[in-house]
Amino acid sequence: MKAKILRDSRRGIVFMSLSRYLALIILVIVATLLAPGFLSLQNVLNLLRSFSFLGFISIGMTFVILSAGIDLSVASILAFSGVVLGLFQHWGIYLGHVDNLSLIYPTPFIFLTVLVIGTLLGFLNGLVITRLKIVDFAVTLGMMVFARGLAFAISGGRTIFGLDKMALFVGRGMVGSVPFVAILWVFAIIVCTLLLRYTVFGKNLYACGENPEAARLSGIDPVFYKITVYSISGFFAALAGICMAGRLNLGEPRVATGWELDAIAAVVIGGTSFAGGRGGVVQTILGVVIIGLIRNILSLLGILPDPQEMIMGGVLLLAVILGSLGSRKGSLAHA
Amino acid sequence: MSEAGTALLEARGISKIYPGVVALDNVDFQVCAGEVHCLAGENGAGKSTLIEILGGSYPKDAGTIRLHGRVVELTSPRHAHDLGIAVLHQEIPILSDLSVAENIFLSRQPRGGARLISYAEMNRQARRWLEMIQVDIDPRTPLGNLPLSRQQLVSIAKALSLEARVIIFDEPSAVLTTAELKRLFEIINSLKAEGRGIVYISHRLEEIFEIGDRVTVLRNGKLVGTEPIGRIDRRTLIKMLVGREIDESGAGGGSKAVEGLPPVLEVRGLNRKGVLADINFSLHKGEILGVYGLVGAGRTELARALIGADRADSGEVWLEGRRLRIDSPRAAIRNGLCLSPEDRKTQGVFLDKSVQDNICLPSLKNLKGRLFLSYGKIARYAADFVSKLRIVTPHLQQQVKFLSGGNQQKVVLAKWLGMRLKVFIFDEPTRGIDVGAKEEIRSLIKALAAEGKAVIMISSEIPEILSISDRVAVMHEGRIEAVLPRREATRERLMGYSMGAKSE
Repeated sequence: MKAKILRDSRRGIVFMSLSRYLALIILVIVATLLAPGFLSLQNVLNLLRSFSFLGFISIGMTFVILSAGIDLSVASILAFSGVVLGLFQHWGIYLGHVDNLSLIYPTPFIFLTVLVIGTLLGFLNGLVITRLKIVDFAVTLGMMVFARGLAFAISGGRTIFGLDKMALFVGRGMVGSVPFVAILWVFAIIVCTLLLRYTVFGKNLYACGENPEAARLSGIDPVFYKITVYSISGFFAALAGICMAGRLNLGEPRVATGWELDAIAAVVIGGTSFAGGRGGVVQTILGVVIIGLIRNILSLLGILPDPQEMIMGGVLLLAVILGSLGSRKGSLAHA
Repeated sequence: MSEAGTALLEARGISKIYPGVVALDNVDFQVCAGEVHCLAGENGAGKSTLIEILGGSYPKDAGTIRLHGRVVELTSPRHAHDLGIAVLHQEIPILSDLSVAENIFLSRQPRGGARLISYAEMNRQARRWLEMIQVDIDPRTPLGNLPLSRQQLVSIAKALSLEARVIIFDEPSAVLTTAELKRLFEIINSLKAEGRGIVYISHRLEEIFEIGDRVTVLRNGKLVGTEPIGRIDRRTLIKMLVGREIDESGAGGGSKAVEGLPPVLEVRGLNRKGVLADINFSLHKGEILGVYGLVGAGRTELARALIGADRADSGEVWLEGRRLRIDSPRAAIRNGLCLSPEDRKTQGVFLDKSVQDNICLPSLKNLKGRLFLSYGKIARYAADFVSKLRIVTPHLQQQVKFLSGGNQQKVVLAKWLGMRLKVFIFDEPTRGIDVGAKEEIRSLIKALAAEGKAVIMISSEIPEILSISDRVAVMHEGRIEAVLPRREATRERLMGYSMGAKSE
């Protein structure tokens, strides 16, 4: 009797953590049935590229959610960064003639500037949250509207066409037969995983996420970590913005609308807990792939973007429900 | 006496299993009308789980519950309320912005015309229930404005208003002063006289002997036995609790004369508006300074101000002749001060993290390879302290929430031991942990002092303060009323100073 109950509850937990792999397998099977060439190497590599853009902001989002926060501004910062990149390469727009006049040269410096701006916007999020003690949700919602508005304002609502070769390489270039963005994404995942698992910074971040007050009494400064995770999130949003602009060959203020929710869903489906302090970047890969596949399949089925959003909303809700089941059920509240 | 009563609530063969832990194993428990039935056991023995099941919060995995002889399946706390079972939790869940009356009548507010809530009627009824236990509280006061002890009285009134026949008190005394406890016992006795069944949970043996008619002891989720209070003595009860004999006199605490020792920490004129007033004391190398005071006297506030968790408004802290600027716990730790906080579960440990992660957290800097953390070093470091402090855990990766209170406290201690700190502040390190573990924690603290560390030990238990301290500081309303050498500290004097009696 006792042993059976013990076994059953263990089985429940194992099921919860396995369910996301199960979901992945089902999605792959469905996709293969819909499009027979789905599992070809070429298609897999293409998919990997298309996942990378969401992948970058999901990495940043993982850091934020690990600290028990939430960042609604990532998609707007992404769009803003792409527009800034476009403008920097077409500074002539402001001077009244439309040619390829770069504000900053060479191009890597433009990248660096855009990354710094994105990081600063994230830093600003963190600063307002910690110094003015306003909830994460409200501050980043404000930043979401602000950054998107800024993207429209500086571009005058126009789409800025045409980027230089280097920007195009970042977005669409191939190394052999592997897309460059995908390599960049995998590299980012490895670095972030090392950071989270094998450094004092990472360990302290998990501690702050689980229990900021206990962390503070242990000599860790939660304010520093909060500001840092939002800066990291801003950095990755800017990086995604650069890659996306390169992929599309344009700076466009309307890009990636609603992606913050996809990123949040990816992180939660991956298994990082909203409560903070549990999860990781590696888990997020799985979430990104699942979200990406669902979108892919919906497109294969010929479902239009708007109904797609509706379905994605349901998926997000389901993910959060399953996620909280996995962590709460069987947890020992009172011993 | 219990023999005369009839069984109000009877639980048979109750089992509850969590992943990896059998919280309750085939436990029988019974409350009769007109008896106070004490439930005792070390932390992790299963007391809380049992009452959560009786209160309808957790489903049981096996067993039957009978109420007035009829089998019931409790599905929710609300269901239990309806059947007349009320649990008064240790941490009373309250809505602090709502009034006393609104808390009492939450979700069953008296209605007036047009089915709208009638506040006048609600306040009138609330006052009636409060008067019943002779408590003078305005039902319109926001509950959060009342001290914990008064909040507890309100929850008793709530239980009465539910017409509860069985009232379960989960460690009510933890937040009460001696006078308040006496008051609570009067109330409990009158409830008992009305023929209600009372379940009383406490760690303090004195209380069990004072209020109880019968006592049931649990250990490791199993029933050890149920005995009428009249038939057992203190020694037997302790033996039932821990499964072995324990010398709890705390003897062997030979105190040192501290005058000759060099002062390590000096505090001068420390103030924090509303909580600390002109605190002056010094702490010597190898000394244990006990800090006694009633709840709310400013002991915890003093500890938090010393390590920079709360900012002091004015005052100086000197460590080994150097003035410290402590504006955060981080700065305090860097200077060699650490705190083992009062609220162990929410501030001392990370419940979801492993034993290993908890122990190593502040010392991670020293557990690196050239670039990255070395998990080999981390595991060795943690294992070292687990064996040194005899922390009972199946393995280093066990989440701390599955450890008993005493072992959690040892984890908090282990966290600081490897850091070459000079001043250790313990805020109620033995609160809520079992008798055996208390003694172990105390001897670990004594060993620290013997190594030359300076220790501040805050405790509400006078015997504990007297057994461990070299000197005792008594606090009252944010001030240190007196600092007594051990030989001059008596139970009476500590009580006197803590209640504001001025030095003669």
